Amino acid sequence: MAYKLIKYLLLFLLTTILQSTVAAILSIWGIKPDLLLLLLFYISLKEGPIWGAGWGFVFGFTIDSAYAPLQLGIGSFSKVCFGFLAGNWGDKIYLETPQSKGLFLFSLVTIHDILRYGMGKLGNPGLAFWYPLLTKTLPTAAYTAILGTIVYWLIKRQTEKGYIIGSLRGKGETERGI
Amino acid sequence: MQAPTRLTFAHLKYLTLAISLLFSLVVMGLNQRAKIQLAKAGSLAFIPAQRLLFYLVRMGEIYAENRKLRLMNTQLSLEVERTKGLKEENQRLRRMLNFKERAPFQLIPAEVIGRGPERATKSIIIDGGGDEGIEVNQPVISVDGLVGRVIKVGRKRSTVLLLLDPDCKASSLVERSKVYSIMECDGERCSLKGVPLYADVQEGDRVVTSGWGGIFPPGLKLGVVKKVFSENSALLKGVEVQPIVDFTSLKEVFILQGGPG
Repeated sequence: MAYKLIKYLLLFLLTTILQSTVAAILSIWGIKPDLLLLLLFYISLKEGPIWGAGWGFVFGFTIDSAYAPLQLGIGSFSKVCFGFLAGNWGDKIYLETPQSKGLFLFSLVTIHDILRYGMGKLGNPGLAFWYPLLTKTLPTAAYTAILGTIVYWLIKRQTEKGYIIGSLRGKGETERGI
Repeated sequence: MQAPTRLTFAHLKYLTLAISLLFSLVVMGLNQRAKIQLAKAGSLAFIPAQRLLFYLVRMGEIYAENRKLRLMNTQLSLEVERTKGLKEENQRLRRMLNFKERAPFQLIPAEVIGRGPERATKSIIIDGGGDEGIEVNQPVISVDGLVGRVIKVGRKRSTVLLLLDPDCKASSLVERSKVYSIMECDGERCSLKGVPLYADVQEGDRVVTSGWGGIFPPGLKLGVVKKVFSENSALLKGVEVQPIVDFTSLKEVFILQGGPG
């Protein structure tokens, strides 16, 4: 338990660094993949909805504290929903192939951003909603999903070759004995 | 037997969700000041930890970058030094060119490539010799004034005896009062010899070659009178001269052709 906590905490810190360095290199027409959501997606699928919601809260609250203190709470709210849905639905939906995981990820990133912009608009009616949703959210969701698909495909390949044992499998998959 | 466990898990799942969302909503409802206070606490450990990890991750990269920058710094320092040298050389050559255009004689440019090792002899070696038409006893000048005369000529090299050497005497003239004399040096200091006690020589007077000696043409600058004093003689006075040429920093010189030498 403690090992997992430390592992995910380090992964979280590392991802925040990668988000500001590597993600900028991967940027296409100003659209960057959301590596933090990708990590949260991975944790939620692997550990289930409780961990998903918990880490979603930690991620959202910490990032908002450091970078967007005036929007404190919005990030944690949207990420709690993201983590919970990923962990909860991940158990229920058949997610064997990397492509299916990518599609699922796309849906969740879109929901996350709708919540994020929606909550932001509640607090400040002057904020735009549809424009960023169309120009930022959907491309970001697509990009993150594509990247997620590639990552999961790579992990799957390595697992099949026997280099990685069990890391691909989510909680639901393990329970189902896949 | 499994039903209560599932129920507990389901409860726990939704309880976590409810608490997390509720806390998020409460935080959202706080005023700006409270949010900022809470954010300060929230990011207290995060930012230093992130920064530390950032440096750890980039340690190798930073080390390589540091090495590269050190190397670049050294190269740039060398380049700056070289440029500085080139700039000085350029200024000197410009002055020389300007001087060459104004000089009434034919001048052979030469570079100083060595200095005489003997402390007693004041001489330099230049990179011009017989091939360039240099001959013994030809006067050697710099942009500032008279340097000395050629005493030895090889095909590509020549030796120049500096004015500072006791053997390099020059017939001189105090420009303002037209007092003729001989300027000679003892290796360090120079003075005018045979100046009559009544002669009008003052400190600051410019001293040039008179052209009488048969080696140096008239009008070459020698120095400035530094000090006038009474010698232990009823007929002559002592005149110390500060040479106009800085012999320690000579780099380029000209050999005069077509003069009296």
